[in-house]
Amino acid sequence: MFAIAVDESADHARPWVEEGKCTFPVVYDRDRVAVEALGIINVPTVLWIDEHNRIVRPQDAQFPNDNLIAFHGRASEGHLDALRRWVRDGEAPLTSDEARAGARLPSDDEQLARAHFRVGVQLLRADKREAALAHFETAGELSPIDWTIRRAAIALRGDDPFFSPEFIEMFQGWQEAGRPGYNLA
Amino acid sequence: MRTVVVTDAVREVDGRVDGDRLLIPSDALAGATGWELKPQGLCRGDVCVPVGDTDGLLVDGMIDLASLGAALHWPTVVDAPEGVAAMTEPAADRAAVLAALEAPDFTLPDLDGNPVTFSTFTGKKKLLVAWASW
Repeated sequence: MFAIAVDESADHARPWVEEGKCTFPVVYDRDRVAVEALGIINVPTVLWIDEHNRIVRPQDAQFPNDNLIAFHGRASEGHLDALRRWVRDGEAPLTSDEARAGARLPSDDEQLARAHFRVGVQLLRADKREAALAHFETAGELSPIDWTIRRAAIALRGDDPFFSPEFIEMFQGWQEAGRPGYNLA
Repeated sequence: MRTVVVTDAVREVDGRVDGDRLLIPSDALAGATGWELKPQGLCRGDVCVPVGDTDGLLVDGMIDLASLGAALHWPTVVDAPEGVAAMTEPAADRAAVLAALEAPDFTLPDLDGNPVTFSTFTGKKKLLVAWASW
């Protein structure tokens, strides 16, 4: 396993890493470098990457257990079984054509949203809150379904990422858009 | 003024605000963005993008970051008053890599600040998990 915390600081990620007693590498991506490179728009998102750094299962939301299944509706068992078969038996989860078809590709608006988000976090780090929030707002308008931007921005500005009105509105819009980021069966 | 340019990394250069334009010294361009202005255009590695309107790109010998983004067709946000700019790869370029199923390499800090490069794990199967505290 290789884990990327889509978080502003190591301290945000640390409590989870310590509680999970993680023995695998955990890095954090405050500027969304790997998030953008991998086209990630939600968390938790997994990709399966083989020995030759080929993506054999593209980005997709999956969960380690069913604790929050009422919220997300994604049972973990099928994914975890397939993962074991890939690791132990080398059974590919998808053909190359299926993996290509399942890859979610970004739009220019989504890329521009990432640029606005990056300007926003720079400004927030420099205590220029008002200017930062304006960029977060524009980013959210350009890419309303990107949780790594919109939900992260709710948390960054100090609001509740679970129960704030903006998250509830975002969640509804995301569902109406067909739950982007939940790519594969 | 202190100017922050964000591409695949955050870099600081000594820039200048000119109206709603944010300018950086042309000799800082490569360090800040990875692109160089050459006679054949804007170049990065083996790739060169011809530049039609160098007047817009160069202002008093400095590079206008918004014009740079436009010339490269890179989605670009410039907040000139705040001295911050960010550029991202065009969606088509990003999509080509993802559709080719090539895992991009990246280097990020672990929780102690030590850089970790993903390609260090070449030769192993990886379950890459992106998660967040929020």
